[in-house]
Amino acid sequence: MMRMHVPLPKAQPWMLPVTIVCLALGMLVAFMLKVSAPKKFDPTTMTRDQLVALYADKVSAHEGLLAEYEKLREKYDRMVDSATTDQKLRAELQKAIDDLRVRAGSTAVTGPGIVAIIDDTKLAMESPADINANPLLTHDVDLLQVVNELRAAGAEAISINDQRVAGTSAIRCVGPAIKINDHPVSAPFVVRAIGKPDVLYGAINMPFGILDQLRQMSTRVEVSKREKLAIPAVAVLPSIEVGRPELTAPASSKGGE
Amino acid sequence: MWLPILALIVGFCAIYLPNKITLSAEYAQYVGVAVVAGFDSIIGAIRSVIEGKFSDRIFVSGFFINALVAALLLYLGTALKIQYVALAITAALVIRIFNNLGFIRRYVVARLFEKHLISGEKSFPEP
Repeated sequence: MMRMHVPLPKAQPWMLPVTIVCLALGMLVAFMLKVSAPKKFDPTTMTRDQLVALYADKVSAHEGLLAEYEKLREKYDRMVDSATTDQKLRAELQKAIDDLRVRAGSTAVTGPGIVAIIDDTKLAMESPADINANPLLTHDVDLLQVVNELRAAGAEAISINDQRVAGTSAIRCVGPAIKINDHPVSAPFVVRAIGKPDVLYGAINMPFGILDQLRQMSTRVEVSKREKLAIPAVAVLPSIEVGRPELTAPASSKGGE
Repeated sequence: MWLPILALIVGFCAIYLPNKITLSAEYAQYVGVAVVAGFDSIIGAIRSVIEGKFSDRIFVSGFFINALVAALLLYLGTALKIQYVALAITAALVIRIFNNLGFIRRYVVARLFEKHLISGEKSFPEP
């Protein structure tokens, strides 16, 4: 090795050209190895052994492709499955949201139900001033009892004089008027309730029930079943300011993947 | 000494490693003839170095022009439908390679043998 360093300065002149040529030669050799030989496929000139080998090759390739097809097919099925599961889940969620919106009163509702018209008795107006008309009038408590009865009978949506009575609604006596959702309403009160008409009708006309009591006070009450009712949404839903939902996974949502 | 070998490896890798570069079979024989011509030039260059009349210009021009002309001749012969053109060109080049290789061999063997003799004489003196 020591000898190699001695002739180096002397050999320098041929170093550069040889380097260039070697570069070119390396490329040429590499080119030769990169020849993609598209051999003409001619089974008629092949020997029996070659044909057998070719057949075995093709068979194994075919098996490989079949296995791949099977795998892809399975993957496709799984994806379709999960997609339909997603769709089902989404439909379920949408249903749950719709139900909750009906309960919360954030949406208008249509459906069968009953209409009850409760009017103050004419006696109250005709009565002389010395008679205490107070027991003859319809009060907030009466309406609350009506609402309570309807809810107990499974009413899904209730409105009084087009004011939706939702979970957040208050029915209060404010001087001569009754305020529902902070909106004054007065007689005649038209109570609409969506639910099973027969059940609602039966419940609200219960003997010694609220309507029975009102009738005994000579209040005019008319109840009728309806095929189709429309109940509006709560105009302004109060925002949740201090309460925080304690989220727990509902058991039914485990149905997904 | 190592620079040309490095260049050889670099040139080889530059073409061999990228997957995109491929050569169709029809051009393979041209490359083959060019490679043989290139080898001929290199062997010739080694001989001229030994003889002490090496010229880098002649070497480089010889390498490229020989390779090019070999491929061109092959093309011409194929165009004229002459058979075994590649074989003829390769034979001519290989004969030159063997000639030059023989010269180099004789020179190298002579030097090694001479040295060996000298060292042998020194290590095995007559009893």
